[in-house]
Amino acid sequence: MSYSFISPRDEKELKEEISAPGSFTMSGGTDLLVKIRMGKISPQKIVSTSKISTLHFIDENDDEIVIGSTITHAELLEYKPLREAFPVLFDAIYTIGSPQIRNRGTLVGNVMNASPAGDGLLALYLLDAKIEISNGDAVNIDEFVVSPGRTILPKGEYVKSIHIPKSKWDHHYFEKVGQRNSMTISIVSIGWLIKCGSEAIENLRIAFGSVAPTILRLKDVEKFSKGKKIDEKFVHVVSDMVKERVNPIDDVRGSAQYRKKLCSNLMYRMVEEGIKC
Amino acid sequence: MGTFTKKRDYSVIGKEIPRVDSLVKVKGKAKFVADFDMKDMLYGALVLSKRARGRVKKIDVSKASSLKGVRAILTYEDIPGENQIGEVVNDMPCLVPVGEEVRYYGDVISLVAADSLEIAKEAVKLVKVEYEDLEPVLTIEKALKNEVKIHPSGNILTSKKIRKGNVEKGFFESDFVIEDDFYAHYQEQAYLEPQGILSLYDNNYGITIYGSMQCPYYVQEMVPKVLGMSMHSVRVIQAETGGAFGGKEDVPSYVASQCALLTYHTKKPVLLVYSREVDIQTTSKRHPIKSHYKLGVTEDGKIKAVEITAHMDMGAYATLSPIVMYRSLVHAAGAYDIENVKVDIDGVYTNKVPCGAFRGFGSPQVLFAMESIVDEAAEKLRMDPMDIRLKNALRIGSRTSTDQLLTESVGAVKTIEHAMEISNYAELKKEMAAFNLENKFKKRGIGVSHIIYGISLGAAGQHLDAAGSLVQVHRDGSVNIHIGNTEMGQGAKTVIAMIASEALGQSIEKIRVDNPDTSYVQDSGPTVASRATVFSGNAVKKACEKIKARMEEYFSKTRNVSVEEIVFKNGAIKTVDNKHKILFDSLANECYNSNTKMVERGWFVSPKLRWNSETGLGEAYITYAYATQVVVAEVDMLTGKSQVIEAYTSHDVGKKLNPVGLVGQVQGGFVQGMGYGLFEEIKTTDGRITTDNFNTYIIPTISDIPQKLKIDFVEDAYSQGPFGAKGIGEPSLMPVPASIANAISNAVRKRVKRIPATAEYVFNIIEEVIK
Ligand SMILES: Cc1cc2nc3c(=O)[nH]c(=O)nc-3n(C[C@H](O)[C@H](O)[C@H](O)COP(=O)(O)OP(=O)(O)OC[C@H]3O[C@@H](n4cnc5c(N)ncnc54)[C@H](O)[C@@H]3O)c2cc1C
Repeated sequence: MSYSFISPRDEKELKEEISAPGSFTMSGGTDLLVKIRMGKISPQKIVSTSKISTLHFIDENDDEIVIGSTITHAELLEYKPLREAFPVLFDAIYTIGSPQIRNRGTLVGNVMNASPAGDGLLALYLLDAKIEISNGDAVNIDEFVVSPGRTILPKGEYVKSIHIPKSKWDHHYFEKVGQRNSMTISIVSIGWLIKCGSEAIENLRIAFGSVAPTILRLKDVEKFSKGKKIDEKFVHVVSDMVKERVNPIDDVRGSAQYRKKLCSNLMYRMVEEGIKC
Repeated sequence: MGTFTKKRDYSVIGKEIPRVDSLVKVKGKAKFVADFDMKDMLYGALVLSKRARGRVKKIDVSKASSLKGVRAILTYEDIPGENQIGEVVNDMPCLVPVGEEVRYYGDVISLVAADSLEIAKEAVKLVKVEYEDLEPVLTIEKALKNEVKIHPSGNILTSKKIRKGNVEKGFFESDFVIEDDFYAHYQEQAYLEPQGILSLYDNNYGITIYGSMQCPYYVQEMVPKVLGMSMHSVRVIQAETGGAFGGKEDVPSYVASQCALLTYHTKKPVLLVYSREVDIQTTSKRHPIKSHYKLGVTEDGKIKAVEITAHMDMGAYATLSPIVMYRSLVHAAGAYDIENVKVDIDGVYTNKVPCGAFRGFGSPQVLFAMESIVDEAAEKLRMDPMDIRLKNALRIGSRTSTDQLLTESVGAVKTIEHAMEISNYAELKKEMAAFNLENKFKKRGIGVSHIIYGISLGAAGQHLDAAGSLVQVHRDGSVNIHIGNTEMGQGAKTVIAMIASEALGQSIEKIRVDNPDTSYVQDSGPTVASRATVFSGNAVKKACEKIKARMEEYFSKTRNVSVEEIVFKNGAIKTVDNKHKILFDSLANECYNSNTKMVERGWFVSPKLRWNSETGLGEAYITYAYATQVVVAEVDMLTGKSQVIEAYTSHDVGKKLNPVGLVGQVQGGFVQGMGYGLFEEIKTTDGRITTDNFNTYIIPTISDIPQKLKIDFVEDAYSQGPFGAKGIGEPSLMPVPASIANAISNAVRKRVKRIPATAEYVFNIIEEVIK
């Protein structure tokens, strides 16, 4: 179980180091180290990105916010414009692990871990984020993530940053149903963004976590909602639609049955929250 | 005519004293077993059964032995002494022999010692074990059929009963008879520090064991048996212990036997520290208990009869189950004065992890069931849950469910009154009703519980119920105290130092309570059952009083004053008229110069109890603690998730010795009980535990604790306790699962019949209620 540990100073060196077989890129290490301890991976070399200054930045312009790959969750929470522009991302990140985990963990690590329960990831799905790869490609988040733990990132490449396009919403919501209040992995998570027209929904995005191999955006529910008024009847219909579309499994945190019903019930938060549109 | 008690003015007892061991622990200077490092030290690791049930056909260690750095690989053939072990029944192999059955996923087959932990773990993987697969018994129901026998004697090891009065008559006289089934699941102790032992070999002495443990004397008895040595060749010293909760009562004896075997064969120091996974997978838990309760009440709320049958899942081996069962038996009918009681409890073997000791020792499971059925009765009678408890509560002159006459220190009723007062109970009920009227998706409920808890080992453990001390005052006035009970985070050292300080008159800073070492003090029984304060406390008090008497005598002679005029307090000795004054330290020096004996032993033996195991009647425990609790829980009706919002708890502790320690115990007990009530859940697949780390075995964090936890104490002194005190360690947890379950039931208007009442469980019982 012995491996070498390297901290390249720049991206060129990083690229060289990670091309070697058995090498793993590490940001905060909060997923990587757990996997090593569990024996799920046996790296020969760990290449840390932490000392590369060109990856440590947050940029903002009129259209988007760009988050460098070594920016931690804690740094994001402290970055005021993020909360204003993407409150749903703020809320999601706020539930990740504990202060210690958020001090080390990064949003890029959360994406690369590609867990169906990834909390930051769910918000990125809602926000139509793009992943910038070291080869110059920018890929939509839902195309970047393939299945649990798998992405399309080519071997020898790394993630430079995450681009989140700015968009205006009237309502946002994120909730993680976990076994306890914090330091918890979701049994089911849900997030939505709603833009109201004059009398009805103009635009709605909705995503679920832990109910499919990846985060699940329900595009047909989104389409269906356009032009509808939010009332109990609407919620009732959508709640049934959701139940049919999620595809959870049984695991140590909860049964598939429970998860299905949870997703459906969580739609009633719209009523509980008193969202009018 | 009451007894006259002189109002005492204590200088340390009852004061807020900081923990004497806190600084070294907070600074990280205290050494725990895993911190030990020694020249030539080897690392131990275990080869565990990968089957819930199977016959071992072959153990091939050849590949593992040839690995560089491996120093020993041991199997049952290498055991010089006895291989069949057990704290109560010898039904467990130290190492499973070829041809014999493994009985749970986690049975130990072989032991490895190597130069590093990595090599040891690598070697474990290379040991090849061949099994013949056998059908496992994984449920109580299947075990009761006895078709597959886990042990040759059958699947029920022991049964215990209570026969008090005539329940048939009691039910006949009742206006209502209600029945229900309850289930309480496993709970893992989740101590911060996993099991760990360091064993050393010395040509002159034999084997010395350092370890994280509650009961050094258990270890000192078992290790020599396995090694085929006599007890004087094995010395056991408790290392700092990072939490135990019962999980380090008997288990360290097995860990120490494994570790000592490796030292015996290699003659080298061996460190054996369990990983969290191995610890959760293989070591004892709280017993799952299935129970059926039948309760008869009259229209005005008097409980006339209770009939209980219960089965506890012991797992693969008996370990401490027969004694745990005794406590379940005595506590099954709760804290009430009931004329007719019938209880039957069976201990059942299954091919799962052996269950054993855990804070409360078989009683929170049955107290939860009893408190639930009492609530159901109250509901049926449209009576307030507090009123029905008050009506049936124990008082002086009452008889417990084992027909024990209570003659002193019964603060039960006071705890009910206090709980109502501190929770502003009537107001709380109104607030809750208002909340529920306003909220559709969140519902709140109030839950009440009222419990009794037997202090110390009770009639079934009388042979162990004594404790010793060795107190030595040095020439400079500093004091060493040796006791046989352990500090494991609960604050034993602090309360012992306080008792010594009060009894000697020396200031507490000059008193050091040492970790137990079996070569100093005679077997003082286990540190369990909330007995350390009462037992070791009394033993220390006695020894200190003897030394103090001698110092008084010396002072009186040399100053020519009468003993009555002398006051020992906070490190100084004075005469009442203030004419003579001396520091304790200086007087100690004078005593030394005049050849005064400054070392003493104390020995405290439990008052004898009369008990009939045929009828389950008699004096079950020397005394009892009582508590009443009120909690408010909020249930999210869309997810089934429950949150404790507020809690109020009143405990009869006899006498508050260390208020800070008491509050700490009650807070800790509350949180641990809440975890059990709400979400701590052991899950298994084919008998293998799948929740074997803290990412899947969910214990409370700071964000789950209620915003408000109000703690109150009732002081109804116990004459045999040091300064009147009774224990608190376990009573602190006992009311919690019950009150939470009752609060959830009250919120969702459906009865919670299983703990933990996880979100998924509650969701399922309320499902129909929602839409
Ligand atoms: C106790 C605990 C609690 C947790 N709670 C939560 C939670 O509530 N919600 C949640 O979503 N997650 C949780 N996690 C998981 C984890 O903390 C997050 O996924 C975190 O965002 C991972 O970030 P990291 O920087 O630590 O990733 P790392 O462990 O450094 O890396 C994760 C993966 O990304 C790869 N990687 C890292 N950087 C790059 C890069 N620049 N380019 C390409 N690949 C890269 C690594 O090789 C690895 O495969 C928890 C973890 C722990 C240990």
